[in-house]
Amino acid sequence: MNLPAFAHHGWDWAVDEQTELRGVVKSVSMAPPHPSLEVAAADGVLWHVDLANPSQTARAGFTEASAKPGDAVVVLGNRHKDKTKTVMKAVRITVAGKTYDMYPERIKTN
Amino acid sequence: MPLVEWIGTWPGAVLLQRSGTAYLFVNATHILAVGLLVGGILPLDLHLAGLLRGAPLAVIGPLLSRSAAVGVGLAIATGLWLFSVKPGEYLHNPAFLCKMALLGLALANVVVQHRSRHYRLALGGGPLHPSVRLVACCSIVLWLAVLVAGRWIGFL
Repeated sequence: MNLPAFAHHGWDWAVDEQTELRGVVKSVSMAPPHPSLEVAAADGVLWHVDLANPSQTARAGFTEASAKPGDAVVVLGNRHKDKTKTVMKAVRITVAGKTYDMYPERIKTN
Repeated sequence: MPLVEWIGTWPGAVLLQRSGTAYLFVNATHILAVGLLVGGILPLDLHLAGLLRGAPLAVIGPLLSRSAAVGVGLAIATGLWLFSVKPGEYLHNPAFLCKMALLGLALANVVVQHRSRHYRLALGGGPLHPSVRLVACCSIVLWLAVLVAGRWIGFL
């Protein structure tokens, strides 16, 4: 079983570069200190995606009802510096046709 | 693990899972408890180790010891509550497991000190036996290690 790492505070554990992860939502957790998603990527790898803190996540418009298992999801974010850890910190997620900006000031677009 | 799953569904856990504000208050109380604990045990241990003076042990010993005990009790209660929010994840967090092991050692060390005849004699105004000083030094190291391991949980 691929158990997700427990990743949280700050950004130093993540790379600077932002990447896109496409997959399917496996589970949604709104529990503090960081709401998170488990996402199965197209290649079957299970990712742990940290959202912003509870207030920032709520301000982004994301609630428990925003995503459910089985929904297609696109995550834009910064992955863990340790490539063996399938953990990512989201700056923006798009699920069920809606976009939620977790960290609007961090989103890098081309 | 049905027990772990059950822990995550008791009403106290659900309350904190749903409310970031409620979580914040329990979290703040946990920090307060840690402050009480460390704020009591460090001066006491430093005094026992002979590094901090200022008042007779018979006067400050029982007060600092009780204050630290209140801190430990409150920290364990709020800590269990915070743990219940994501029990499965914490059980896989090396820093959390390390903290629990260190906490066990620190509590065992408390028992050793309080059962010591030399500690009771010192509280009564008697001389400080080297074994009391040694256990006090272990206490300082262990409680600071628990503190750091606890902070590490969120940074793995």
